[in-house]
Amino acid sequence: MRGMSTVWRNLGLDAILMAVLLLLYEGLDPFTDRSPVARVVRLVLATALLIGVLPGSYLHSVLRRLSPRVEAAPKWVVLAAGIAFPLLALFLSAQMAYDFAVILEETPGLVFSIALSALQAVVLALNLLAVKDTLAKEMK
Amino acid sequence: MNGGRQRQFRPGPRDNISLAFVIVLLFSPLGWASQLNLQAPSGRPAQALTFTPHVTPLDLTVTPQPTVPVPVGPLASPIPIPGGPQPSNGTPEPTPKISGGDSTVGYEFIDTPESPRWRIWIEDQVYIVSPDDPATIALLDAFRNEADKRATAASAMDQAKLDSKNSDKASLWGAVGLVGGGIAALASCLATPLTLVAGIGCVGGIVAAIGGLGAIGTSQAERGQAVATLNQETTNYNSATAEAGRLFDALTRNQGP
Repeated sequence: MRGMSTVWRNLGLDAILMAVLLLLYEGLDPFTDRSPVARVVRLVLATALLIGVLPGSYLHSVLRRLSPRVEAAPKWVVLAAGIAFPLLALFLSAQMAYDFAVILEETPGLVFSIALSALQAVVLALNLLAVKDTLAKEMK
Repeated sequence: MNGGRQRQFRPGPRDNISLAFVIVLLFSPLGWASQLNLQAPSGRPAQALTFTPHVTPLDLTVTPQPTVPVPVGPLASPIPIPGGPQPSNGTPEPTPKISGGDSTVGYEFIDTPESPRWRIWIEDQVYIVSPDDPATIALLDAFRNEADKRATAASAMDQAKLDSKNSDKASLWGAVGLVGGGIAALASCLATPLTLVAGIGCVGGIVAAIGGLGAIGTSQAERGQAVATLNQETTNYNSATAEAGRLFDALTRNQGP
């Protein structure tokens, strides 16, 4: 049942990378009235989280160490969450991309929201593959 | 059994501390990000919000002045002054200044010794109105009203756009909380034995997930409200712009060249 821990790890990486992208956007957005200190704090946090998810780094190893616990969880919960969470985030980021393109007409926000949508699409695809493998093994 | 190194996961204190570390790292930015929303120095306005209609509060005690009939000769019709209103030579600036609208569609009271007059403009067309008959006064009042409505609508549109942007970001932070809290709760609530740290992680994860879900719901409702307001104010803005243009034409026709 390795698929479940893979789905869980993907979701963890997804949450961390979403936070990184949001912090980067809030730190760099030229259209927001924000003090330099608040921007620097966001960029430092984003960098700390980004370094953490590099292979072998602290957050990556934490996720790797904790993922076996999920094997004891109800299968349907993990698999449903693995598909539903990226789908929800994909909807929200696509909605944000629409707002930036049509209502706000801000290029930095549009680029950010497209990157966020792409991240969700990748996580969704990876989780769908993991779910498919898990279910295929179950059928055998 | 013999020689087979079957590794079984046994969560220890290190795992529980790691879990708490993940939760802290994952959710601390949420609180800090909202708490550190400090104001930028006053000399550096945001680029998206640099457009602030120049609306000076209208002192209604002065408005009866246009109704004073003053015999003046016909004024020069549309004065081509590019770039909006500019103080005319030799005309002292009225104090307090009565003006409204914005740099595109607006008005300004010009108090001259000879007569009370109004400068009105649409884009690069500027016209001096001398309200010396009831029709002109009515048209001028209507024009001023539309210019104010247009400026108010523009301000409301800017606010609705800002609200929409903020609610989009809040939705995504909510998604981070939901996903991060969900996976943290899943991992920590299943810890055997359920230690104190794992229990805290379990409760914290559930709270973060519920909070994230609530943030998504609330911000989506706010976004819907902002979009509805934006649509309404856009309609008002366009309507006021068109009406102001019609009134401007009527005023120029009414007063003649």
